[in-house]
Amino acid sequence: MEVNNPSAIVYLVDDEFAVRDSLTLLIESTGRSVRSFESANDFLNNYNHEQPGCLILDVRMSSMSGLELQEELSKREINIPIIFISGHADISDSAKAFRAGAVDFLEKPFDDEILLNRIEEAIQKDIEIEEQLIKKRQIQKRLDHLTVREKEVLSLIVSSYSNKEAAAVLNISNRTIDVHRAHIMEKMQAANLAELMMMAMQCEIVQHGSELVD
Amino acid sequence: MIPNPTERIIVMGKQTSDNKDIEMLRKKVETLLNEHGNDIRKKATKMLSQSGTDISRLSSADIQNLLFEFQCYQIELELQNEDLNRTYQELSASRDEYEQLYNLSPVGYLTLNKEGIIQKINVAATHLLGNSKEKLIGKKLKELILPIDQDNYNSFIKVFLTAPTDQTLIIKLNSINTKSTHLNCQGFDLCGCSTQDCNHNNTSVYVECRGIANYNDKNDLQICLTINDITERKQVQETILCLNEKLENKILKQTSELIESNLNLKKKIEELKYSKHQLLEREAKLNSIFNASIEGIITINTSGNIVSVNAAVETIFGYTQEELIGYSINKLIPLSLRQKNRHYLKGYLQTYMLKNIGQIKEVEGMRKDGSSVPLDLSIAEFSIDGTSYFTGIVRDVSLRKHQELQDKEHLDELAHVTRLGLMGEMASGIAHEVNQPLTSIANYTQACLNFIQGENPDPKQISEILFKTHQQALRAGQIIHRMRDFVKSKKIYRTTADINTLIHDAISLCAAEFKPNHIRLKFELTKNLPAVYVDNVQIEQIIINLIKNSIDALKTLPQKTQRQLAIQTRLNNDNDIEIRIKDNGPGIDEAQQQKILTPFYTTKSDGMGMGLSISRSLVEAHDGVLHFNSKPGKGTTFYFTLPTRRKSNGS
Repeated sequence: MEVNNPSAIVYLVDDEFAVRDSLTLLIESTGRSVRSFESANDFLNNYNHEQPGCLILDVRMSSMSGLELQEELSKREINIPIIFISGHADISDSAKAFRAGAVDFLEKPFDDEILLNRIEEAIQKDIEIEEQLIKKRQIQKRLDHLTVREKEVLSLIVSSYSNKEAAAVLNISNRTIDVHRAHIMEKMQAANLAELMMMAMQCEIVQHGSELVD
Repeated sequence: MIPNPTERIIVMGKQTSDNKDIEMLRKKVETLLNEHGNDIRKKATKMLSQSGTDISRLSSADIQNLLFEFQCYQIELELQNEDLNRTYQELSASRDEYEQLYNLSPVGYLTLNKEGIIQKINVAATHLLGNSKEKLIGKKLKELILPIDQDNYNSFIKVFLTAPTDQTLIIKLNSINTKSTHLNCQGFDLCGCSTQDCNHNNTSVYVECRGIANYNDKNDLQICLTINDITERKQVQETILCLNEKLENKILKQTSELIESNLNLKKKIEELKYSKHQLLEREAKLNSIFNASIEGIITINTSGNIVSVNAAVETIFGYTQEELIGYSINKLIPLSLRQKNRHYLKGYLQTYMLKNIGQIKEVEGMRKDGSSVPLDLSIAEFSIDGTSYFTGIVRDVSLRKHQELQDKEHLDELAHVTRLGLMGEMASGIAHEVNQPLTSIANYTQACLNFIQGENPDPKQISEILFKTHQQALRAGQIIHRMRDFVKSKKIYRTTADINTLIHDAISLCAAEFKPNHIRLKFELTKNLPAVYVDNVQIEQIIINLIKNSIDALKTLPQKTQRQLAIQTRLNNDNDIEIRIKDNGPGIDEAQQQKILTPFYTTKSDGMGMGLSISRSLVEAHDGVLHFNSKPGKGTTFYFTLPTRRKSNGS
């Protein structure tokens, strides 16, 4: 069976052997690779984020529950998309899971088509996230090359300050602002102001602009 | 000068010398004078000279007359003299006689002068005074008197000296002549008087003095005493006194002894009266107990014949007392159990009764109408005058039996109802448990479909998956089956079971409770335990109840705490199976510990408060006990026992 992103891996964490075994077979029958783990810790120890993938996670497990693992992953900034499966849908559990960015919350036993669709979506999402992450890292890298003054100017520009206004705030001349602005555009490899604004938003400079001003 | 009379007579005789008569007279006078001595002559001469008569002046006639007179007088004198002589003779004879009498008299005579010196004494007196006459005369009588009587004697004598009257005195003499009479108390030893001890055993002589005082011819005061030996009389008197005294003492002693024993007797009578009263009171009490007792009291002799029954026996068996007393105990025993042979009955009774004294036996009795009645029987033995009796106390337990049966039914019903409740509480968990195999089944089958639809389906792989699917279906079915068993069975029956299997079955119903609550379940089951004979469902119910309580307790612990629940089985020291359910939860505080086993007490907002009390009742219905230990902050262990199959068969 042909699948997109064949290198992607479906991670499965469920402490119930039969569920683990049957799900593995089911997913493998669609041509996906599966790595299953009995416990959250096993998963944490073996997860490789180099490859795209998704995580099918049982909500109720004895040592660390699915929700706890989700929390732990967030702490470790592991953004693998999670599909929760649960013996019975507990509204508070599912709400919590969704708030924390879960792809879906499926109740056992589940329609295999829905699960498989969600797996594909999740893998796609993981790939996108990974791409965005790479992009963000590039922008961050470029940002790191800016001087302190340039960062200050950038912060004011993305906060919709005009050159004149920015010059007044920083107590420098309009001309100097212009020079900084040209340097910023060049270092950030931005074609125009809109692109620069986008980059700034991705790196959350807009919100944290005030910090840069300091 | 006047010559003395004798000279005068001589002179006169000379003057009438021729007169023969004168001569004769003169001779006679001389004789008289000789006889009477010169004193009388001198006195006469003197008296004549004093009379003043001068014979020389007298006439012859006068002289003749005078002579005649004189001659007459002479003759008279001679006659008087003869008379006097005769009298003298008589006197000396009587004097001798007196002397003899004086000396031979058994009465002692004594004559004392006023100084108390013995002047005269007769033989009897010398004997009494124990000395010879010669030694006694001239001795003071006082010296012979014992000192104790001397004062009496002195005053006795004094009386004579002042007013000489007749008086009597009894005194004790120091008898030197010790021929004393030991009459005393000898021979009266019966009175407890021995010779040595007796005061009156002495050798003293008692005399009675009777005296009179007079003046002797010399006009001296003299005291004449008669003394009588009254020793014997006195001693007899004193002996009598002594005996009387002793007798009196004896009587006094005996009287006091009598009084004392009388008092004792009175006391004893009082005591007897009191104990009699007590006995009566006790008898009355016992009688009232005997008759008011709701338990039948039957007394039989060793032959098995009924001696007495109380009112309750009539109620229990339907016989009147008259229909029972004197009859064999067989009358109250069901036909099948009767001992026909009288001799055998006796032996059987002895062993049966003695064996069961002090115990309560469940036996069967037979009423008058032939119906049987379940009884609790306890037996006591007693004997009166060597005859043994047995008292059986019987209680009609048919009501209790019925009650017990009803209680059991109630308990079973209640257990069932609470089981339904328990199942309700566990429903979602069980649903989850069923969901797992169902999920697996769905996955397996879809995987199979996918493989079959794919290129080169591998039949071996597919059959493996189908086998797993089958297993999961069975598993789901098992859970449903157990659940149905758990709630369905209203009919209670006991079977032989392995406790560890029961525990696993119970756990399968509540397995879903552990995971979501992060409870680690630990089995510490002893293998190869003896079987128990129980109602499986009820035992599972107990286990689930206790596990659920532990889970509820563990849930209150903070998330990060390690929550542990251990189930242990073992054979305890009494050879009972002991099941322990132990958690490391918060424990039960002491105030709650008192109440948690009582019905309707709960600490849970959604609890009924029936779980533990039902569990306890169920354990007890299985002849076990349910206990718990709890330390606040450390955890709680509930444990219960079940008799092993062997043991429960034995009882």
